[in-house]
Amino acid sequence: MIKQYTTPIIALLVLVAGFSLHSCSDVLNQAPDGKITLEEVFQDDEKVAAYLNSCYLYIPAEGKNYFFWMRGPVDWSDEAWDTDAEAESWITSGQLYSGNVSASSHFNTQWAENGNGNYWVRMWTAIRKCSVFLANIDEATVKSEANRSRWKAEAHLLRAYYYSILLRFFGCPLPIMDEPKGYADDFSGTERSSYYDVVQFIIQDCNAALSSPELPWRITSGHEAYRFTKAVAEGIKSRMSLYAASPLYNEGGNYWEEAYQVSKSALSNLLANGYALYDKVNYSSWNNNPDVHLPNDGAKLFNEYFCNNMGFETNPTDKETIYQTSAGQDWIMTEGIGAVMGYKSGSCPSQEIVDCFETIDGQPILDLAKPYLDEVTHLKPNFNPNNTLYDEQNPYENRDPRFYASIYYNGSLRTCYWIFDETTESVENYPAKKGYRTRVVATWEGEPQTGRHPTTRKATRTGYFLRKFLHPNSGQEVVTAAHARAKVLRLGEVYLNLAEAAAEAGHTQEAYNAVNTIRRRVGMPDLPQGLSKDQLILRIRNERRVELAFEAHRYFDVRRWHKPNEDLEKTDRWITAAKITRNDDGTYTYNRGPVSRERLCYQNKFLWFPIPMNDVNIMLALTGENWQNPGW
Amino acid sequence: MKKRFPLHSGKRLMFLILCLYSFGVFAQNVTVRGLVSDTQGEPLIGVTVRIEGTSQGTITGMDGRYVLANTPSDATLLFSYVGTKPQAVKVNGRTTINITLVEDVEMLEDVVVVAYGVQKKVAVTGAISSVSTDELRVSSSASIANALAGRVAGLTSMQRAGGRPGADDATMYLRGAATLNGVTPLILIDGVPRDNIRTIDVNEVESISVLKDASATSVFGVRGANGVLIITTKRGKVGKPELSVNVTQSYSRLTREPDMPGSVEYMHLRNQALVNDGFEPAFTPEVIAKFENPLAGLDPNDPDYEEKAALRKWMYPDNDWYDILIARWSPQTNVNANMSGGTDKITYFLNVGYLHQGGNMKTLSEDILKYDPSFKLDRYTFRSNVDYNVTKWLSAYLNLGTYIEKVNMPNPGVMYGGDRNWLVRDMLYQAQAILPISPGPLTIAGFGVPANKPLDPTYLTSGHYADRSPVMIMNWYGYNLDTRSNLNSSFGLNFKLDAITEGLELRGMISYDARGNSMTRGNMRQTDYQAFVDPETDELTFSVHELHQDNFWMSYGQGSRYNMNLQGQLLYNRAFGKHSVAGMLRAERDYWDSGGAAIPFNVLGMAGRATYDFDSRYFAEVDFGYNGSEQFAPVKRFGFFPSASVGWVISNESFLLDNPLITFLKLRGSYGKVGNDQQGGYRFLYQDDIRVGGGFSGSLAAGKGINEGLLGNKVITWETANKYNVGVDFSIATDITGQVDFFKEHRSDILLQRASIPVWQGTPLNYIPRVNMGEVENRGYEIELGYNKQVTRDLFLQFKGQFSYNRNKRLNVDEVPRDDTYAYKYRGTGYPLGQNWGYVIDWDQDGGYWTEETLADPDRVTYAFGTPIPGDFVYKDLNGDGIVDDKDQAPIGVGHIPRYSFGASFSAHWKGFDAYIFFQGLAKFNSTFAHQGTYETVLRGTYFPYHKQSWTKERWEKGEKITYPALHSQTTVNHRTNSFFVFDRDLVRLKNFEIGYTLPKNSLKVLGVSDMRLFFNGQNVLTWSPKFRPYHLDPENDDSIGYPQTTIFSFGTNIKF
Repeated sequence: MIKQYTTPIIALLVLVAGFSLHSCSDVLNQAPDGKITLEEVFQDDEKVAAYLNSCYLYIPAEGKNYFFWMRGPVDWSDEAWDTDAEAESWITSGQLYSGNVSASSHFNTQWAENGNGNYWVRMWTAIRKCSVFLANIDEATVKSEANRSRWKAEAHLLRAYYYSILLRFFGCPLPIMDEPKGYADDFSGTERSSYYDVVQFIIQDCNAALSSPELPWRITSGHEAYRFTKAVAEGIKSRMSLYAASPLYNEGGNYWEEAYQVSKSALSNLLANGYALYDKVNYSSWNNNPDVHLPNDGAKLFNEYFCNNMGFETNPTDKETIYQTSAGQDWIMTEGIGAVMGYKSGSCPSQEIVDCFETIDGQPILDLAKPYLDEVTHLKPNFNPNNTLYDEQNPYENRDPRFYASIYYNGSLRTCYWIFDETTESVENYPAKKGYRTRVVATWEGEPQTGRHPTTRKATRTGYFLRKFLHPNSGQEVVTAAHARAKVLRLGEVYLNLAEAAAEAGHTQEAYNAVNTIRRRVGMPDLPQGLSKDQLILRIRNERRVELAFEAHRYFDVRRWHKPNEDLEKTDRWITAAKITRNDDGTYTYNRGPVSRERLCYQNKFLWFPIPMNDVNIMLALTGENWQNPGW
Repeated sequence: MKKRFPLHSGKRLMFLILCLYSFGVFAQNVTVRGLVSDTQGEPLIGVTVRIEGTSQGTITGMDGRYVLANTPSDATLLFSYVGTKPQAVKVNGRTTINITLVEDVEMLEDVVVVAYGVQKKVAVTGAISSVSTDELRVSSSASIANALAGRVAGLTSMQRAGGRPGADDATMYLRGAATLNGVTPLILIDGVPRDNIRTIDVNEVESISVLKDASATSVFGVRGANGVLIITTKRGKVGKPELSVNVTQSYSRLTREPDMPGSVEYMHLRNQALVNDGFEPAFTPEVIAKFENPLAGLDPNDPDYEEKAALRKWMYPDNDWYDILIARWSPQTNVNANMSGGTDKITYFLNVGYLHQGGNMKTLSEDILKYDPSFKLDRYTFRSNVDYNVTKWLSAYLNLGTYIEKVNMPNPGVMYGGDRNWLVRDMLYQAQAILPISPGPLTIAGFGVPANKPLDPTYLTSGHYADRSPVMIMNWYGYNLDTRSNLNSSFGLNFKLDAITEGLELRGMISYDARGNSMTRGNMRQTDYQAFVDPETDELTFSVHELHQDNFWMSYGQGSRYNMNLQGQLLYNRAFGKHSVAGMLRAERDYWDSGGAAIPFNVLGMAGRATYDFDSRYFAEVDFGYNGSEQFAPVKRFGFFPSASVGWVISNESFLLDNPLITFLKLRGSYGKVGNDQQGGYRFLYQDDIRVGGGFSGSLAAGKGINEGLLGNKVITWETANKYNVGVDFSIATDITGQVDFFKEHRSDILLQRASIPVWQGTPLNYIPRVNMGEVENRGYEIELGYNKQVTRDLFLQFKGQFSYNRNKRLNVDEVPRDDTYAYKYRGTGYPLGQNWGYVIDWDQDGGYWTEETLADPDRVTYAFGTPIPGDFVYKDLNGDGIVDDKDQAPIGVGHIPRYSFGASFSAHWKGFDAYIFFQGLAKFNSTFAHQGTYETVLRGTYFPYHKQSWTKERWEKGEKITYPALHSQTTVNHRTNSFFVFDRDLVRLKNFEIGYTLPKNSLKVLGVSDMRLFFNGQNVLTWSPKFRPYHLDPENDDSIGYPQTTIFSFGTNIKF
């Protein structure tokens, strides 16, 4: 009997053994899938370069890529009102305007796009990567010592840049991480640094970068596009030393002289290395093109500067831009009056920013020391009595050329493909069919296409549309022109940094020189000599507001200029609109009014973003100290 | 329990009478007749009568009588029948033998499918429930997993993700949840882990067993901690071929539909919301008047009056877009035929099924579109299970189960990432958000545009918001056809090794599953239009919204995957007098390819079982699983998971043996360890995930970068569940049966992401090594009750009910405590999984709402996140610092996993009629629904019924019922997660009912039909969810704009030949 079983039993046992027990450990070992160790990275020339390459990936795109195609700090300042605040009220601006943010629920951690947002996590990740690179680069296997020197310089500079972003948004509850930390380290002894010390650390990193003979001043080949240069180091130093000296951050110290020296040497080094203001019209799209509807070369060059990408060549057309972010800025159809596809207006320039543009004779419109008699609600402008050119009922005549390059206003013209047929209500434009044509941008109350509307996403909230970054050729039926990439560091800013620091430090003539250089390039007259220090500083601040409008400076500037006994009520609470009535005789009556409600984000806690609640709780548990920014 | 009146006589055994020809073997052969009845004198149908020592026999007929020819006069007849004690009767020359069979309580439920085998019910010491497929067949669900809802104690099956055809997967919790990671039970189909429970045809299934405690599941080792579902398919039985045909036609609609406001009501609500926010009203009285009376100003005597009136009504409509977009009754067809039978050598079960399921979206006809974008599913299932007895000691079997499924829907290519669910969500969302004042959905003639072209009604919805129109999404972008095919195959050999030692058996099986899927997509881009109505001039203008060339192109995609399973098993089963022992030892290897771009998975394991039974009174069982998973580092690769259990059948003790009241009583207890290797989709967590990837600049490392991902934990291991279970099985008299189980589980070593490390150290928290730190405790109980009563000869009543409770608590989640200024120091530790946190509304202060008076109080609390207006929620300042902020958040509700799950069915048979009704419920679970589907602020306002009684000053002063805070046009303080929006989802459904009629047998004999039954049934007929505030939503669906559940009515027939 047994015999007849033997064969199948043995067969089955072999089968069982074969598929189950044979080489147990082998079958459970993971097949190679390309994972490597950190040690291996720094033992290979190409992987070392690859590691540095990854350190670059954390640079925020800025521009209009904050979230859902919006301009972030531009919309959070008194420069503009975001139409998404009503249309998509649960995201960034809507949350902020209604004060609907807290340490555990903040748009910055909820909505992130293109590296804009979630800075607390993103920047610390980036900083650690740079520190890891710097800790390993000296011993790493690198074939060319020139590369080693340049790469090391770039890592220092990237770390400086990332720290500067943290400082701008979070103020200074920051530790300095000069060496990479392990996640399992003991953090109980961690100490907060002062703002000044962090800026010194940033400057050290910049100086380390500048000391490398291999780091170039300018990227001269498209292959190396968007890599950091010595110019970036100078730009960061200039900006952050200015911040450190500013009232909010100086902690009673006077660092203006230091800031002045840093910006002075930054400017001279930049000029010596081929950087220069963009000072003439270069492109045929602007030059002699009636369809750009700009009154003079000052306006044209200013508009075209922002609408074109910098070139990476030895002698580029644009010598002003120090750093432009690499991320694309998407199609213009998603923003402003260029929203020919009907998407949204986004940032609508405020009446406040419009009031800042002087008349062509160099006179401010308002008294800069007290621009509004009702300082909070801004409905009663305090006009500059010396200004004779400004007409309240004809307000857009005779203005600074940069006004025309930056803003579409009631009565301005735009030639593009308009996607709608005009109706009888569009008095200025009726009759006209959908198509390529010149249209009067009419923003009076009730204008059906470009008039003000309180909630519609594509309408203007303020009576103005943003123009500064809008290419005149963008109005094709099938949109092909993208926004130029965001210029986040440019020589113009360094001039203004210098002007401010010099004025504050008492180097009056150098302050005049710097600010006048900026004014001359667009054809504005010099500032009058003999201003008092305070007057000069007010004029320089106003110049900064006009020149750097919508470039995400204002939000940070009003904060660093902040005085301890005040809150942000004068600037950030009420934003006004031009409420324009079209009279039967075809004339317009200009009034001012609030855009809608007050913004509930003017208390002092809004000086900084809150640190995400979890991290604050962890740090409290570890160090016994509250690391949260005040008020959150 | 169809022992007396087998309505579905699928289990009836029919032995072929092979020996009718054996004349002359015995000299004295007689024909024996008789009646077999039960103790109450009722005739028993289908009793097997066999001559001992031969295969000769018969069964009793409809009247309980049998005839057995050629019976040796000295033979012994064996009478056997399910649920009774077998009897042996000597013929002794008699020609009439009437006998009474006595019920055998032990045999009531014959056998139970357990892990890798079957056990007699009486011997089971673990916690196991099973469900018969007859019950599931009443369900119209396309997936068995959904049909299981409420039918098994301890198993919660929910359609959290909704019911889109082809994507109606159930979320299953067995005894709730006890881990932060995957909670899905292991599902075995014919002994192999398989994931096609959604598609298996209920007609193929013999039984479903649910294994709950450690004793039942420890043999599964690292895969068993979440419990196990074992699906066993049908096999053929010796007997003449039986053909069964089932045809069902059904109609389905969504269980809940929002009652959207009409045009005039909408405009008033919207105005109110805008005014509350400080805006001008959007609709002037003149515009509202246009919609109230669109025909105003028309002259009835005008010869063109009719035409003009129609146009006005089109321009100032009162559209119910839900009605325009959602189909009310869509058809579903289910056809199935199966055949089974066999001889001593070969038995077979063959099944073929076809299911057609229509969708509930109204797409345009193929005549207009030239293609069909409708939602529909067609599924063809085939199965062939064949057993072959090669010799007396060797048998072989081959199981082949396949399906082909075609799921058609509109083209999702226009959605972000081509997401199919997004498409459905977008459609439902838009169906709610398009305004009733928007004309559409097609253009009309006479205004310079072609007629019946797509019109974008979102134009008015969102102003100039160029989003996708649902009419476009549903119809005009093309279609998508997903085809999936699947083969489950297993080949096995069973050797009976009685020759070595009696009761020894060796089994081997190899399984191969293959799956393929392909996508055929017709892409279309079509111009659509917008309408602009000017209420001042009554002018209508059209313009192009999106201009496209009407081109059509195809795209394709495909993928495949496989699963191999190999297993060998040695079994021993033998009785020695009063001692019975059984043992099992097995080895298994699994490897599969997940279909994604991933390395194949590998699992290796052994398992064993030993049981001992003394005199059917004392039972003991020891089980173990020993598995290795490649997920873990070599040092931590293999785990050993033992369990032990005991049982005592008290009713077999002499003092209870003949007790008429307590007819059966058993106590059970078990303890053991089981593992869970589900790690949230991560693999190889013991290794650092550092790879070469993409970088920033092409000038560095040729564009390469180094991606630093999740860091490895060298000692990563599986979760361990320590499970305790005690249970009682009982029968009272002859009618009532029951089972009660209590369980407790301590899950430790749960893999989690650290939460006590600061972000600024620089390694992103989600890349910090996962650690085995988590601990969760889970406890609960289950009760099953049954009642069966043959009231009269014609009337049979049955009740089945189950009630389950589970409650989990997180003991450690690596949480850092908050400081003392917080109302609650922890938000995870000590709370159940999925606990919601939010602001607590003070319902005692003016009903929960601010008024002008209370807002004017200078000492009132302020909100850190905005300023309330009258009618906004009053939140409690729990820490008493005068400011409502994060620190005042409190636990709300009990988490999203239902604590209670219950079901109860009643059935009755009377003569040819039968009726069945089944209620199912879930209780104690909460979820937040935010924004779309619940808020009033969406786009230009969506107003569901509970918004219509929002807080207004007038309503408040009059003391009217208020169901919602003041309306807003934007998200405000009200829309923070709070005790209003954390909804209580308790629900009870009339899940199924069925009325059937079985035709008298004689009436159909001429057609060759042995059995024919007609039925009418319903599914999800009624749903009660009294505490669920957004009553327009189905409380079972997690997604407020997901594809909802459906109510289905069906009629059909089962025919047996």
